[in-house]
Amino acid sequence: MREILSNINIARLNLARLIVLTLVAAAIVVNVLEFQDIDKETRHNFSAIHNYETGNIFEVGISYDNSSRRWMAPFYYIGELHPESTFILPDRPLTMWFSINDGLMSFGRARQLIFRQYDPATIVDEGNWDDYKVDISQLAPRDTAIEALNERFTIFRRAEGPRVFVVGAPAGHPLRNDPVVFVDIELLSEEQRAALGDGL
Amino acid sequence: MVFELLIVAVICISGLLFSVALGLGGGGAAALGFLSGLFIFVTVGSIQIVTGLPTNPAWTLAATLCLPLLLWGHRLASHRAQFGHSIWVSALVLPVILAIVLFVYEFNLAKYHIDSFRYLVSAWLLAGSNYGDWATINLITARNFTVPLLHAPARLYDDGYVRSVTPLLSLSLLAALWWFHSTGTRQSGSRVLRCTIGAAMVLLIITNNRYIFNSFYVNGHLFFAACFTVIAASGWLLATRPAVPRPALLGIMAFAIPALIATRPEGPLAAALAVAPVLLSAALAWRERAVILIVFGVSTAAVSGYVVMAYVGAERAVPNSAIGLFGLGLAALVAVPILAWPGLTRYSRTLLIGGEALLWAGLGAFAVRNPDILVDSLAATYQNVVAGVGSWGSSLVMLTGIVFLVLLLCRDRSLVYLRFPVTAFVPLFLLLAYFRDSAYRVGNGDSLNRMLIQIVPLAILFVAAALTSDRWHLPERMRPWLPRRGDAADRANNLDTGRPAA
Repeated sequence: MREILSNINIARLNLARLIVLTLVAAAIVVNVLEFQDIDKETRHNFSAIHNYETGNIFEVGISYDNSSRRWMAPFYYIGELHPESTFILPDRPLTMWFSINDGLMSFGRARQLIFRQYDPATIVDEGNWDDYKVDISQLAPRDTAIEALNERFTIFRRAEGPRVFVVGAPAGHPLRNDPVVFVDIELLSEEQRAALGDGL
Repeated sequence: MVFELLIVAVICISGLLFSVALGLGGGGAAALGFLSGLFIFVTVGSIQIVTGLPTNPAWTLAATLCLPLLLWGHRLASHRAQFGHSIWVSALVLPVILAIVLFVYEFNLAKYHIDSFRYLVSAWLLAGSNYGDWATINLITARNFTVPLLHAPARLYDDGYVRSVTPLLSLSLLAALWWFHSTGTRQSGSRVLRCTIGAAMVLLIITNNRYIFNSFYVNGHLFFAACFTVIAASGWLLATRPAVPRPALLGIMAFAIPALIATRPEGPLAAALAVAPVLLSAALAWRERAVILIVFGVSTAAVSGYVVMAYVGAERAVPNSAIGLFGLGLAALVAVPILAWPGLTRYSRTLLIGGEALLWAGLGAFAVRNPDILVDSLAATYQNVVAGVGSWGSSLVMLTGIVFLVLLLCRDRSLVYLRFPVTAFVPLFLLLAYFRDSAYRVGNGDSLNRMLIQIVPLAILFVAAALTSDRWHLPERMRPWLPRRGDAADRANNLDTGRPAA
C-alpha cells in the first residue's frame, strides 16, 4: 500500500488537480449512496434495476402498461396466434394512435394487406360470433391486463383453416382507446363478402 | 439463446478482425472489437436500407463478417503476427460475450417505454424486408435505422429483440473508455496514477443510475454515446499521439460516423461536433481529414436524402430540417478541398470558439423570437436533473460542476478534441427543442432527460484525461497562501508556457 501511495505521489498532484480528484471520488460515493433510493422512487421501466418475471419485453409491456396494451398488444397477439395471415383493411385509412399498417406488417406478422372499400364501423354489426371469440385471458400474462385488452381488441375466428381477417373498428376509428376487431372472413355473410369485392 | 450468442459473436469477430487487420494491438482490439463490429453492422444495414436492397438481417450479418474477413485475410499475408493477436483476443473476448448472454437470459432486466416498441416495429419490418414499403414517415424520421437494425436479427430465431446487444454495448463502451484513457495518457504521470484515475473514471460511470438504466434500455441513447465517444476520442489520439495505429482509428471512425448519423435525428449535428476539432487539426494529414469529411458528407447526404425521398414518396411537404441536413451533407463534400487551406488549421482555436459561439448565438436568436420554449425547457430540465424527477440523483449536477472546474483549472489545450463536442452539445440540446418546435417536459420519458446520457461518457473521459495531465493551475486570487508565481511549485508545472515540467 505504501508503495502504491508513493507511486501516486500526492505532492506531484497540484492543489487544483487534487480538488477535482477529490470531487470525483465524492461523486462516486454519492452515486453509490443514492443509487437504491433513485430506483425506489422511479417507475419500474425507468429504474436501473428491476427484475421482471420474464425477459419477453412484449409480455412485460402488456403486463404493466396501458400504452402497450392499447397499441402493441392487438398486433402482437394476432401475430402470435395467426402469423402469415392476410388482412383486409378499409381503403380510407383507419386512424390509430400509431399506424395500423405498420403494426400488422411487423408485430402482426401479416403476409399481405389488402385494401377494399367498406365501412369498418358496420362490418361487424350484423354478426353474432360469440362462439368464435378468442378468450384473451388465455393470452394475457397478468389478470390486471385482461380488461384493458378486451376493451381494445377482439378476435373472431374459426377453429381451423387459412386465415384472412377483415379489420373492423366499431367506433369508426380505433384512435387512442377505441376497439379494433379482427374477423375471420369466413364468418361474414355471403353479402358482406361479396361487398368486399372479388378475389377474397 | 444459442442463436443470439452466434449473432453477437459474428458481430464481435467482425470487429476484432477489422481492428487487428488495421493494426490495433491485442488490448485495443479487445476493447474496441465489439463496438467496431456494431458500427460495421449498422453501416452495412444502413446501406441496405438507403439503396433499397433486401434488409433481411442474415444478409447484413453475412456482409458484416465477410468485409473484415477479406481485409484480415489480405493483411495476413504480410502481417503474420496479426493471426496470433486475433486468436488470443478472440479467446479473451468470446467467453465474456457468452457470460453476458447467459446473464441477460438469467436476469430479466430489459428496460422499455412505448418508443422502444416503435423501434421494434421498424426492426420487425426490416427483418421481413418490408421497411421500404411500409415504414411510415414517423418511423423513418424519428426512429431512424440503428436501433431497428440492432434488434432485427432477433427475428431470425423468432424472438422480439436482441436481449444482450445493449448490455454488451455498455460493457464495450467501458472497455473502450479505459483503452482510450490509458492510450491517450501513456506519456503522463506514473502508471499507478493513470490506473487509479482510469478506475475512478469507470467507477464514476457505472455508479451512475442512468448509465445502468441505459445499459438495458431498448433505445439508441447508449449507442449514440458510444459512437460520439469513439469518434471524439479517436480524433484526440490521432491528433495528439503520433504512435497510435492510425489506420485502425481512422477505420473505426469511418464506420462510427455513419452509425451515429443513422442513430437519431440529431446524429448528423452531433457527428459534426465530434469531428470538427479533428478537421481543423494540423496534426492530421489533409488526406486523413478528407476521409473523415467525405464519410461525414456522404453519410449525412445519404440518410437525409432517404428521408427527403420518403416525404416525396408520401406526397408530403419536405420539412426544412430534412432539406437542411441534406444540404449539410452536400456542403461537407464540397468543402473537402478547403481542408487543404493552411488558414483552417492555423486559426483552428478561433474557428472552434466561433463555432461554439455561433451555436449560443443561434439559441439566443431563437429565444428572442420565442422565449417560452427555452424558459419551459430550462424549467423542466431543472426539475429532471436537479430536483430529482429525471432519476439522475446528484450525478449530473456533480459531473457538471467537475467539468466546469476542469475547464477553469486545467490548461491542457490538447484536450479540446474531447472538450469541444461536450460543451458545444449543450446549446445544441436546447436548439433541438426549437427544431422540434416544443419545449422539453418534466419526467423520465422526456427526450432531453434521456438524451443527456449521450454526452456523459465523453464528459467523464474528458475529466479523466484532464486529471492525468500535468497542466493545472489555480487562479491567483484563489491561492493567496500558496507560493507566488515563479516559485518552485509553479515552475514544476510550467504555468507560463502551459507545458508540463520536463
